[in-house]
Amino acid sequence: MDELLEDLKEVVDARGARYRLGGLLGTGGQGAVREVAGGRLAVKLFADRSATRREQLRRQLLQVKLLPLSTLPVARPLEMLQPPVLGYVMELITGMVPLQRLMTPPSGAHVAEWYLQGGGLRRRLQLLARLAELLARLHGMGLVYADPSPRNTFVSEDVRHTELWLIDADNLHAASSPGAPAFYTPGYGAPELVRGHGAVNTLTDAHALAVLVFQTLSLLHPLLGDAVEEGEPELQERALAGDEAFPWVDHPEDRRNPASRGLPRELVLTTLLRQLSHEALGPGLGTPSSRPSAARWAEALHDAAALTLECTGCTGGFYLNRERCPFCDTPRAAFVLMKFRRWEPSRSQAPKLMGPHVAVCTLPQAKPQVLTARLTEGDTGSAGQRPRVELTSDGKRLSVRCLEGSCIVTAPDGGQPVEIGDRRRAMPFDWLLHFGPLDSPHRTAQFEPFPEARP
Amino acid sequence: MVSLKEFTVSSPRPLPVIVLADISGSMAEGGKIQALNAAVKDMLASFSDEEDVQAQIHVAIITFGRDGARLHLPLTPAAQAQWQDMPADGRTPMGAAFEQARELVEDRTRLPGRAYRPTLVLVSDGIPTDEWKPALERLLTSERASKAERMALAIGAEAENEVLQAFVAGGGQRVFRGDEAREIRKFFRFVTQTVTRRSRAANPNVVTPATPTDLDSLV
Repeated sequence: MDELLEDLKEVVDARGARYRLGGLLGTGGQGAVREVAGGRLAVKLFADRSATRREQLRRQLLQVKLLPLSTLPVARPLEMLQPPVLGYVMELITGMVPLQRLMTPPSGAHVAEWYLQGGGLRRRLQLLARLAELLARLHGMGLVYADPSPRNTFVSEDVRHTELWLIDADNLHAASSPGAPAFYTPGYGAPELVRGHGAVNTLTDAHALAVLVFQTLSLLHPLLGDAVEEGEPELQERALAGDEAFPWVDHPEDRRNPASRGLPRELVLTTLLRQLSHEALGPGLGTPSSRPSAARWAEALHDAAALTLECTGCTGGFYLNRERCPFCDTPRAAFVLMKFRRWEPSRSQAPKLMGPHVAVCTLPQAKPQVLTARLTEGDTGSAGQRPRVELTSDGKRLSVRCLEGSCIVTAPDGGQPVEIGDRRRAMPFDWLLHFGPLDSPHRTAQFEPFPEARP
Repeated sequence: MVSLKEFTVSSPRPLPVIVLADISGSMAEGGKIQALNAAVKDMLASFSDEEDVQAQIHVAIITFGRDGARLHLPLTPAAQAQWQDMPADGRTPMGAAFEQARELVEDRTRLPGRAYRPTLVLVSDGIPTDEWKPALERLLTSERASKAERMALAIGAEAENEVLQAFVAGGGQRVFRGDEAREIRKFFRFVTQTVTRRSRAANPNVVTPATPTDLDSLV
């Protein structure tokens, strides 16, 4: 009766449709996810096939079907499976692989080479920003995802893309539901869940997100320092339960659990990402309310991705303040720094740039770069992903064209403004690029060229 | 091509599988030793296909027969194991095999402290011909072997059920029975699946007891 989930060859759904099963996409605490032969669909199979679990799943899927998920990258459940199997069929976008693939190099692999093959730092930041954004949107809808993990977060297999999907939608629960479960994937469960104190909520999601971010970028679990890694498996269980004897690996004051492995954090984390990691894994480990929200992570991750440059030697991404690529030592190539600031027109005074910059972004030489509405308008979520302007620098000046609407450039001496539409126009570095009409508030971009770093 | 810097990441923890194989003279009958060799070889091949991130399956084979108990295959990552067929001859010194198993499991240079709980697998078709009780007692009361997952296959009516029962007691598994050589392969398919399932599980240190019918559902 208890056939191994990995061995099932065929399942039948509630409407009688048969599905031939293909490869294993992942296994977790609750069961396994298998591909349906032919692609586009997957089935989630549960190890617990009890009548209670069946009824619970049936009700849960009914509720999930009522949620307005159609605009979110969440694999929707389609049909329940017939007994004796307990599980359901879900959509699956083809060409996606578990995030796990970007978190653990195969044994014997050259770590840096493997990191770059997965798209390097920049792509990892972009994917994690998408994950944080998706969780933030779910939280904003009053939902909890419950079990963010490397096995149910799926990302584009093609490293040129940065699509991200969550599977296992049966995990979704209302943030305040009294019957919320307390399951987790070991390694990603908040300490209060591991210790059996309480159920899932947005703060347990926030813990899992912090671990996923830190681990995907640095290839190191933030709670598994050298002593834990080299010790018995029981030490690992204690560390993951938030035992105070094992502070997180980069705790600035409490150095009882340091890690010598993983990528150096200053290579992969900005100051803000390190700060959020500490908030989540230092004070936030025992005090859930101290954990940064998914929305804060999303902003910090997007900002970090915009601060990376592509190495002309190894094509890996690195932060713009390094004069050499930290992976291969190639000197940093010439680039243009873009600073985005608010433009505030006023009736009584001349219009002016207000305050410090609200965002920055890099522009490499001789490579067109698309600015999205996240930078040009300050939009968030999917609205922020709209392509707005394409810029190219030849090292001497810029060429600009709009992909949506128009923009205006103004000279520093206050000469006649020039409007730019979908036709490419050249502009000097010291001109100001406006993403809105001069008589209404909008964002602007200033440009600052940096020469190639000394070899 | 530029040269990239070296970084280290943590390696998966070993998940040890230790097989105690009866290679006494009676195993030469009815194609049993051939079936056992083929089954273990299949198991090694399946294990070496497993690329999991948190657990790496290591295998050791302790044989007991004419030359007493011998370490036929030292504890090795499955992907690197060099297989040599086992010959069947001699008596059934199972007690000596228990002693070898205990020494291996308790030896922290061979089986590091960071390893997950081992799986001990015993296959026999006969009655032990040496003092097995004290050796088994020592094995089952030793610190790490007592926590191990234990599985046993009794081949034929001759196999001493009492010994195998005592071996699995408290290890979460029952004694499997087989009357023919082909059931040796079935049993090892089951062992393979139980171990790979554990290596892929979210927490490989948890030993999940399987239900008795598992064996038949594999066919």
